[in-house]
Amino acid sequence: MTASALDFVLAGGLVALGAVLLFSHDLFRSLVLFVVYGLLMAVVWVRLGAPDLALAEAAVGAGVTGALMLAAWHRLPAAGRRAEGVVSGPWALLSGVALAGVAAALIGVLAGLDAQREGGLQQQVLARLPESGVESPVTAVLLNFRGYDTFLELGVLLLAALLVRLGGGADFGLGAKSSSVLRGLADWLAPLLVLTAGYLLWRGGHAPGGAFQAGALLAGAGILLALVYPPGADGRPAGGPRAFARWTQGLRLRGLLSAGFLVFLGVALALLVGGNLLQYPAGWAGALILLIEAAAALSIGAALLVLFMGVAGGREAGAP
Amino acid sequence: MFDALGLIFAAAGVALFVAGTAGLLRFPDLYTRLHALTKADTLGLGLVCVGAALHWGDPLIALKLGLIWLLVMASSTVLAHLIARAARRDGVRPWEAE
Repeated sequence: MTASALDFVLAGGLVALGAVLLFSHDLFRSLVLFVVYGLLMAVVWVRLGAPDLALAEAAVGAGVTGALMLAAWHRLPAAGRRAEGVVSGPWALLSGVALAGVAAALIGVLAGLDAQREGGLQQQVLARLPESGVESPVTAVLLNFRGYDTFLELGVLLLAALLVRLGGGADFGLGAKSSSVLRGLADWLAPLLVLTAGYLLWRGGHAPGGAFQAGALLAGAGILLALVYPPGADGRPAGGPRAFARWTQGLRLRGLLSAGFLVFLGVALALLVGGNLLQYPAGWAGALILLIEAAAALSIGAALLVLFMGVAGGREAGAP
Repeated sequence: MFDALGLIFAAAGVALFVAGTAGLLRFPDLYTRLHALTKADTLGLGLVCVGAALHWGDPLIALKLGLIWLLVMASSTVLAHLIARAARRDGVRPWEAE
């Protein structure tokens, strides 16, 4: 693809945004800029021909991470909301330029290596794609060729969510701030998000999309509902008639949280009888991948939601 | 023909975004800035969407663009409401001419 003026604007904008958000003394400003950075990065991934990454970046990088960091910011005492010790001035600029030079040199070397290897890994993936059970090369790599990587990733996410659950409560203190206008939006946006998550999950088999993007959308729906229908003092939803909202607040997500890991583990163990780890039997790969992805999407959504609730819940800002 | 019409719509949308950005930078307080911003968000994006739909000339793409417009419109208006409400509760006073 030839570079256009748009690409230069995007690349320059990313670098400038990165510099401003790193050197800002106001954490809130950095936070907002980080979300903008994520959105711009998603556009860059589209321009680079990586729509899978663009979807993941927009949903996880900008969306869920932004919500997480805002929740964390909310819990900071006022004195902690200023970034102290931010280096600025000529030395910061000099070291930044030096680091960028090293990174550019490394990328150049890696690109040179990739060009030497004929066709790179792309050719190998495309050659074996018909055997993978799916038509999307990204899904084939994530769930088949290197399925154990994704398996371990789900394990890491599960561990992180469990750790947060150990420490976090679900006491929001957001009830009074909830708005009926926001509730009106959430009531029809949340089902739409769930529908889109299902669509992305199904689409992952033959086009960009998949469990991670679907999971992030599910988490987004959960976070929205948790903000609109916060649990009351006794831990029950204060005003949410909706079963979905109640489901997200009770934090009774244990089954969902581990579903992805357990299903993946079950498939792996069952296949181990045949000899190799995660080598799908011929003809079954597509169905097994869809089964794993469906469970994984639910788990990823639950895990991201638990991470948010763990950070957003608990004591108000300023409390010891 | 459709292309030229699409270009006109898109240009009008961009002009609205520029005006909205100028308002965001120049208006005296939060409420007037929100007022400038939401106009650009809703009508500006709508015009750009119409322009893009005319450019592609595909009903399916037009439908998707329409959906995007509706979703952005719904979320940006609600967000503007939430920001203004939070500011009012925090005691931010509307600007008054001297």
